[in-house]
Amino acid sequence: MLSAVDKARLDALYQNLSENSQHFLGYPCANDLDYENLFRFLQFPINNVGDPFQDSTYRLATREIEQEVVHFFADLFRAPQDDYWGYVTNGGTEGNLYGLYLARELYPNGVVYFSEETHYSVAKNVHFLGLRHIMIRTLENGEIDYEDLKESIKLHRDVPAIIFANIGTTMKEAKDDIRQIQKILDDLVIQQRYIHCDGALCGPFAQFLDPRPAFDFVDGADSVAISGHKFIGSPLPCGVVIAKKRYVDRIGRSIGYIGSMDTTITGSRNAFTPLLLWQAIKQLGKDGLKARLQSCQAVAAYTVDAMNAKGIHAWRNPGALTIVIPKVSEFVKNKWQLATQDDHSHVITMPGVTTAHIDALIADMTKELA
Amino acid sequence: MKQFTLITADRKGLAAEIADVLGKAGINILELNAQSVSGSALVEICVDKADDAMHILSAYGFQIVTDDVITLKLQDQPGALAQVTRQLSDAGLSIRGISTLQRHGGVCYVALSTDDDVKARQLMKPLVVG
Ligand SMILES: Cc1ncc(COP(=O)(O)O)c(C=O)c1O
Repeated sequence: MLSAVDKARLDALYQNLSENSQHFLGYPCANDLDYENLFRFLQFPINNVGDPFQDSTYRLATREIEQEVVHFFADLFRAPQDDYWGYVTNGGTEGNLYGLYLARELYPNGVVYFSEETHYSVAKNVHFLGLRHIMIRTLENGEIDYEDLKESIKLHRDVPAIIFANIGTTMKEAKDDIRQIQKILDDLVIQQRYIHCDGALCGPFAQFLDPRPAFDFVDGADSVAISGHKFIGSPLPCGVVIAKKRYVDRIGRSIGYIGSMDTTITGSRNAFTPLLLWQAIKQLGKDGLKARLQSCQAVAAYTVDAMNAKGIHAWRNPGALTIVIPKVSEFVKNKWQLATQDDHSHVITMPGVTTAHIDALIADMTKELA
Repeated sequence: MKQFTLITADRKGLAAEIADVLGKAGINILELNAQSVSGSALVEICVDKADDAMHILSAYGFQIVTDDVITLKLQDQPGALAQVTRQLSDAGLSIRGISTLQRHGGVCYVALSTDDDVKARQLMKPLVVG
């Protein structure tokens, strides 16, 4: 039994979260789906320890559900039919770490190239894996500077190139074009190469964008990672990573000496988050994801127009749900939880964000300008 | 007591802003030297609680570097960072990483980490900042 004081503490926290969730425009987390029917699964000590595609004696698990989630995203990312593998991760970061881990096992002396606007967790993980890196400039819109990339790789033609591409950067939702990157690698005759795509935000809907960005396996990716708590709106952090199976098998063989073929990163693994993702993809399907994207884009377009009409310089990359605006005041930043970097802030029109939210934000911004 | 460097786009009142952020956290500034180079500001800061100060300033949004990495000033042009790493690998050094700190007005400040920073500092001497 909780004491009255402890109960009151939880009630206050609940109240606080309920209020804050109404002013949540700066982080890409959808909060429109209802997962209540899954709450009953929390009564079991479920755990997907190990490889989702291998049997385990731990039967309080949701492995088959996890497999279906993997199949769905592998299909969405046009992974080669009999040559893919994946699992439900703890978030985009773990998926990116996994992609880089595969790259390092294939090319231990490779150099990782990533752009200045890459999420900060990537530099941390590159360091963690003991990989070498060279940071590449970004263009004004946040996309990797292909000329800088080319010159940089040219100077290191003797080592494998590991490309960490952004399919939607954190601040400007810019997408690196992996076809253009491959052309650079082809021109420089770099055979030993690996391309990982960080689709933390845009991965679930990139396939439906027009024009469609080059980001998936057919376009040349070797692995793709997404977050599950962003566009899809899982209430718990999670993600998915899909990679070419032949690479994963190779790691499995090389770590056989530790007595395990399991190549996932953690030991125990969350068995509840696969349920959340499974329910979302079952409810939405590809068509639902597409419709969801379109309604978010409509709110994004509305935001840019409404802000410009009020004299606020707002812009977004083509098709993006992230609207870049001049740095907002501390009050607006804190009230609406807007991420801010250097001289700009951003608003992200995730599922659940309405034009009414945007109007209220604009009202707060213009009140200060007046 | 330890010194570190803050690199940012230069702006009016920067030193006062830094002093304010640190003052509010109860950190004493022992020395603060700012120099402005083509639109970028390099501020050398010496305080009583360096680790706390670095966390606070970095959470505030400033780019912080310490003596544990080498800071270089380069011309901002394609391949500039890779030219450094090429030169180092040709000299038998192994890089850990090279990242942009600040890019402004044709100049780029970068942080470099290698397996032999003493030797790297020597090789890169004309470009080393601080
Ligand atoms: C582009 C990008 N990559 C990776 C991440 C990290 O993802 P996660 O928070 O799911 O670990 C983020 C998070 O905001 C991101 O924006």
